[in-house]
This record gives sequence, C-alpha cells and structure tokens, in this order.
Amino acid sequence: MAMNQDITDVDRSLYDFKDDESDFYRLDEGLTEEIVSRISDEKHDPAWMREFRLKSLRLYESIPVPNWGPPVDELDMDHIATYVRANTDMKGTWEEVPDDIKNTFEKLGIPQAERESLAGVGAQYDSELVYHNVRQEVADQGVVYTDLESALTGEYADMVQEHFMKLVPPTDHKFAALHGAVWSGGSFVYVPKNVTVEIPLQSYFRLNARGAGQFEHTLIIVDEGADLHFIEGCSAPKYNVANLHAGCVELYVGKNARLRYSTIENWSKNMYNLNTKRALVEEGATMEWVSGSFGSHTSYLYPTTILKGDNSHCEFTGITFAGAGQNLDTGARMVHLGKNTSSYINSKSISKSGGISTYRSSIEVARSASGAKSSVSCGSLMLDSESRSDTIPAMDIRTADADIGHEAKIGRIGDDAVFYLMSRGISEEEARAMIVSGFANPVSKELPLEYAAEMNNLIRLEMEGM
Amino acid sequence: MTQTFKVGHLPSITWNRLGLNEEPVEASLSGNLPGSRYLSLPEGTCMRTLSFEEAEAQLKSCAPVQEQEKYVAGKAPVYHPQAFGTGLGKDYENVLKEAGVPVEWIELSSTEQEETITCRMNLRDGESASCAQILHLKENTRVTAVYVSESAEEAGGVLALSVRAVLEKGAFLRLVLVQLLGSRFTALSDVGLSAADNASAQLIQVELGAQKSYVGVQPELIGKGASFDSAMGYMVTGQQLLDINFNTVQRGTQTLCGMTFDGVLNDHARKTFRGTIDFRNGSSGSKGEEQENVLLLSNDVENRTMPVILCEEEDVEGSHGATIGQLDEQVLFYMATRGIDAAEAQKMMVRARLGAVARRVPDEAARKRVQDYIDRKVNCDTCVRAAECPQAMNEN
Repeated sequence: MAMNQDITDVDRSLYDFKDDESDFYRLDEGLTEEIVSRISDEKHDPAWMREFRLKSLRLYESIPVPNWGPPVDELDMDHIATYVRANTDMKGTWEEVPDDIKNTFEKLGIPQAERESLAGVGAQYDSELVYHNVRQEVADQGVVYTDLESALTGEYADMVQEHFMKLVPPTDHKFAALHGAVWSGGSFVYVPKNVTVEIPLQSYFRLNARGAGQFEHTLIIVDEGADLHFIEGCSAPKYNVANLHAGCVELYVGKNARLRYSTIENWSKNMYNLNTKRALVEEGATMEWVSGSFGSHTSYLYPTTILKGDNSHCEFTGITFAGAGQNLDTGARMVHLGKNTSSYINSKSISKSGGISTYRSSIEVARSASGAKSSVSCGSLMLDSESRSDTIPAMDIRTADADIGHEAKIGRIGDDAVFYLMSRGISEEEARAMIVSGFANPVSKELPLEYAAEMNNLIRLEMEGM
Repeated sequence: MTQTFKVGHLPSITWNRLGLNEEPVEASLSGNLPGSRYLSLPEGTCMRTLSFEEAEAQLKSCAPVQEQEKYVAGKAPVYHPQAFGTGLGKDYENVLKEAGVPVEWIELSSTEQEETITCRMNLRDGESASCAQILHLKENTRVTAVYVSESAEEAGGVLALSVRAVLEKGAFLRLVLVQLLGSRFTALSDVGLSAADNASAQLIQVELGAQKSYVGVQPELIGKGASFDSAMGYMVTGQQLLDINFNTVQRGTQTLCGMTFDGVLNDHARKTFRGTIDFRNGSSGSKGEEQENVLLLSNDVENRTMPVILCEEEDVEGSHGATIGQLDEQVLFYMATRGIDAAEAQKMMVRARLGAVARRVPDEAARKRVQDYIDRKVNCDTCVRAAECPQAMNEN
C-alpha cells in the first residue's frame, strides 16, 4: 500500500522496482506431475492434499480454456515457474525479514500501515509468506490469522480440510484446477462467534520473480455473529514476459455475521490475473466486496456470492480502470438461494488509451429465493475512441416473488463539466482527472482513507498526459 | 426432415453455463409458402421471386457493406458473421437456403403518400411453411409492412419468416409483426435491416402464440442520422418458450436507437431476451437505449434477460435497464381500495401492458385480433388465476 498521500509525488517506480532473485529457490518452468509433486514435497503436504493436487492437475489438463472473455493464448504454462521461494522462511517480526524483502514491503508502505491501522498483516513474496503477524489483543479474542500451510497441519487442520476448495472446486474452471494443483501461500482467518475485529486485517501479495506465477489461497471463516474487514493488496514489477496470478479466495460468512473484503489490485501490466473469489453467506449475514482493478495485462475477476441463508445480503462496489495494453474483464455474480435475500451491485469502469474494459455479471434467483431483491447499477466512462467498453450482464430469475432492477449507462466526460472546471482556473488535464476521480467516488468512499488515497493516486497516474 | 440448428447468437458470448449464448432449435422447415396467404402490395409495386442465392447476390449489389467487428469484449467474435446481418443469424439463413425457400424481392419507390404492404398467413394444423421477403425501399420511400401469422388455437406446425429490408436515404419503414399461432406451433421470425443516411425503421411486434417462438432482429444503422425504434409486447404462458435476440449495430454518426420490451410470463413459461446495442467506431454523436419490463405471474416461470452494450466510440450515450418482478404493492393497494382484488388487478395490468403495444398496430383488423387474443389469454383457466397469484397467496 502506498502511504505517500501527496498525489503529485507518486511515480510508477513505486511498484516497478525489482529485487535480485539469484539466490532464490525456483522450480523449473512448466506444469507436470513431477513439478506438482515437488511443490507438495516442498510444502510437506498431508497425503490428502498431495492427492488433491494431482487430481487437480488432471482436471487442468482436461478442461478447455474459456471460449468467452479476453484471450489468454499468449499465456504459455511451459514458460511459467509455478513455485519460487525467497531465501527466507516466514517471520513474525519485520526485523527478522531479510533486508531486501523488507525494503520491498517498506516501499509499499506495509509495515507502516500495520503500525497505524491494521490488526494483522500477512506478506507474501512470490510463492511463500515471508511475514505474518497479528496484534496480541486480536489474538486474545480468539481470532486466528495465520498462513494456510501452518493451518493445514496445525490445530485447525480439520477445519481447513472441511472448507478448502469446497466453494471453488477444481472442476469449476481451468484456472481453478490450476490453482488446486500448484497453490502456495495465502492466509487462513477464523473469527470466533460474536467477535468483532475492530480494525482490518491485511494480506499483501508481491510477485517479484520474472516469468513466474503466484497461486495463494485465502480461506476466511467468520463465525456466527462475528465481524471482520479484510484487505487484500497486490503488486508486481513489470517484465517483458508473461506473469500469472491464479489465486483463490473462499469466504464463509456465518449466521448474522458480516465480512467486508476489500481489494486494491495493481499487478504489473504483463500479468494475467485469473483469480477466483467466492463467498457463502448464511442466514441474516452480510457480505461486502469492495474492489479496485487497476493493474494486469489481462484480468478475469468476478467475485461470486452465494446467498444461501434467508435474509442474507451482499453488496459489491467495484471499479476497473483499463489503460493502454490492458484487457480487464471484471464484474460480479450473485446467486440467491435463501428467502428474502438481497444484493446490490455498483460497478464503474473507465477505458482509456486503447484499454478494454468489460463488465460481466449474472444475477441468479432460484425458485427457492422468494422475496429476493437485487439492484444493479453499472456505469462506464470512455475517455477516447481507441478504447473499448462492453457491458454484458445476465439475469436468470425463476420465481415471481422477486424484485430485480438493472440499469447501465455508458458515455464520456461531458464537455460542459470540463468547461465549468476550466472556467474556475483548473487545467483541462486536471479537470478531466477530477471528473474521473468523482466518477470513482462511490468506490473510494467505501475504502479506508489511506487506501482511498492510493486508489486516487492510481487514477491520477493513469490520467497523466490525457 | 427435422433440422437442428442454433439461433440468436450473442455477439459477445458469456459464461456457457448460463445457456444464454444462443438457443438450439429443432424444427422441420419446408420451402413452401403458407397455403393460405393474403398478400397486398401497393399498386405498381415490382415483385420478383428469386432463389435464396439469387436474392443474396441482388442484396449484395444494393445493400451497403456490413463491416464485421474485429473484437468483441476483448476478443475475436466467435459467431459466424453474415453478409447481411439478421437477428436469428447465419445458421437460420443456411437452413432456409437448404430448404429451398424462395425469396420475394419487393422494390418500393417513393410516392406522395405512405404505402402499405399486408401479408396475412393463416396456417392449417400440421402445416410447415416459409415466407421470405426482401423489401428494397428507394430514397425517401415511406412504407408500412404488416405481417400477421395465425392458425386455429390448438393447431401445430412450423412457420419460418424472414424479412430483410434495405432502406435508402431518407426512407421510412414501419414494420409490424404479429404472431398469433396455435399452441403447438414453432414460429421463427427473423429480421435484418440496413438504414442509410436519415433512414428510419420502426418495429412494432406482438408475440402471443406458438409453443416455441424464436424472434431475431438486427438493424444496422449505417448512415448518418439513421434510426431504429421498436416496441415489443409478449405474453408467454403454459409451456410456451420465447427466445428474443435483438442486436442493433450503430455505425453512422448521430444514429438513434430506442428499444422497449414489455412482457408477461405465467405458468411454466420460459423466456430469454438478449438485447444488444453495439456502438461501432465512427458512431460519434449516437444514442442508444433499451428497456425491458417483465411481469412475473407464477413461481414456475423462467425469465432470462441479457441487456448488452458494446462500445468502441467515445462520443456516444448508451443506456439499458430492466425491471423484473411482480406488480408493485402500491398498485395492488390502490386497486384494493377501489374494491379490485389482486387477481383482477393483475388482469387489468396485463391488458394495459400489452395493450400499449397492441394499440400501435396500424391495421385495424390485426389490432382487433391481437386484443381478442390477449383477452383470451388473460381470461383462460390456465392464465391469471387468483389461486396462483403469488401476491394473493401472500395475503392469505
């Protein structure tokens, strides 16, 4: 996370620096049974997980690449290293983390953010976590926040086995199967019944290695009546070869619980971001997604919410900014199963300099979901005619007792608005950036202040030279 | 012989599991014209009957070239483009061609007054028939074309309709399509339009009959200031299936598109609506709007709606909206205060919703038959019933 809040001082070097990886442990590029077995060995998997990985690999080989969505033809798994480990194990204090890696996270503002506004931090560097810590008072509440590998063999092993890739099975799609085969790193969070975590937890994922993939798995269980805000950040330096991120997020929101999951995604523009996020929401519970997609060469990202319990609720607030060379296919999916469930999607997208932004969604209301309500509002801003913006929403409604509304608008920055601001002495470039920031306001106002500032910085960066 | 093919391809496909990318059809199409058909053309109109291939060659010589998109939603489109786009698409065109369907080429020239074409098709039980026409409207010609398809209430069969229209500069076409076929029919209705500078097309479409009905419309607004305006009303009940695919391509500057769809679903009805507004590069100053309003009257219906906007031009305004659900509780409360129960209120609202489209049918006889058909559907035992009215159940 960038803590520099003076937007005029931000430059791209903030995210684009690279560390020397000559002494890192790196498995061969490609995807074979041998490589998957070696990952399993490295991670000391329990037997069931080893078998799970190999089964997922077989599924990956049999499932075709999606025929919809942006092209992924240039993503060659034979040239992706699926496991890269820095020369350190996971530490509990920043002082213990090797200097070069610590400096990386210092530049990204993570330790400072932890001191000032977070209840716990997990920092992943390439394939493994290098730092994990949770405040003592939060741990004293019974909150578990640890790396997934530790959880897999520790006290919560049964809970992990019960939930791991049950919401996103490897049969779901090709990249879920890939994730099942080579996943590494990520966090496990358990918030006990009726516990409110007052300040957010954050995981930050940094992919430093050239031509590598990152496949972290985040598993969060928020028990009955509990409350959590979890923040996810990610970045990578830019290379001239493809990098891949195929993470997976599984969220279980218990009865009357609340979970907010915020993401500021700023992968480098050589990244294929093929991420899968899904939440299961029980009776009376609330799921909130806040999502900002700024980076990546290609993205497939559609957080899915299954409103299983009666009276459960979900809100999705997202923004996508597609600049030169980017093809970002983002949106959300809501599945209404319980009675009197409700969902709200507020999505914004911006396309400029030849960028392609696609909003894709589905609202599915099952026969059992009587009293369901859903509202979708989708706005797209085109900043030039080299760019492209498509809106592809679907609604599948199977009960009469539902109230579904959808509206979408596409357009450009109005000349009147620019003229008005210019008449107040603001330059045209500044005026356009202000209008775009205003357009993104529904998303930024949902973020904690420092993250909103980072998002505005990213928008400002993208708008430079317009 | 039964043909199996796919119609109504989305230009921008999405998740396959939703089953919305296209609709499979099984039907036995024949090249025969309807046995009972009344066709009335303006006096002095030139009509020629051509083979499908001859008609395509002729179309190529007079219609503007339709450019295909290189990318849709970030990738090369996977559907098969047509030389002259239609809503049901390439597969349907091929099936018509293979069935040897003759094409009636109707050339219409400007006169002082608006002319009318009427085509009434009354199909008998078991009949499989096709009707394919190309309307060529010369500069500034104004025409209303009314197509009504009917049969006995319980009759079954197949009707394949194809209407393609080339609108030269300043031409105006009001196209009226009314489908009142029997409850065992399969109906296919395919429209393709190309509009040059300041040409405009208006479509009024009513879909009430047939067991399975597939509707496709593709207007290409090529010229500056070309416009397309449509109003569609449908009521789908019993075991009926209705599949709708509208794809408006806006290529010229300052083109306008407005599409509204008002529908009612009851019993075990299944309906899919795909509506695309496609702003192509160069369509600066264009506007496009679409709105679908669906009234659901039974918990066993399946309603699928896909309002799509594709945009590769900055200076455009596009919007779409959809409202899907039951009658508003405030409306029901208002009616109740006037002594009207929920079931009767629903009947009134169904009549009002469909009546708004039906009243726009210019042919008085056709309009009367549409009103009668709506009344029959609304009043029949399997339609709006108090016992199955979800809101009535809630009140109990």
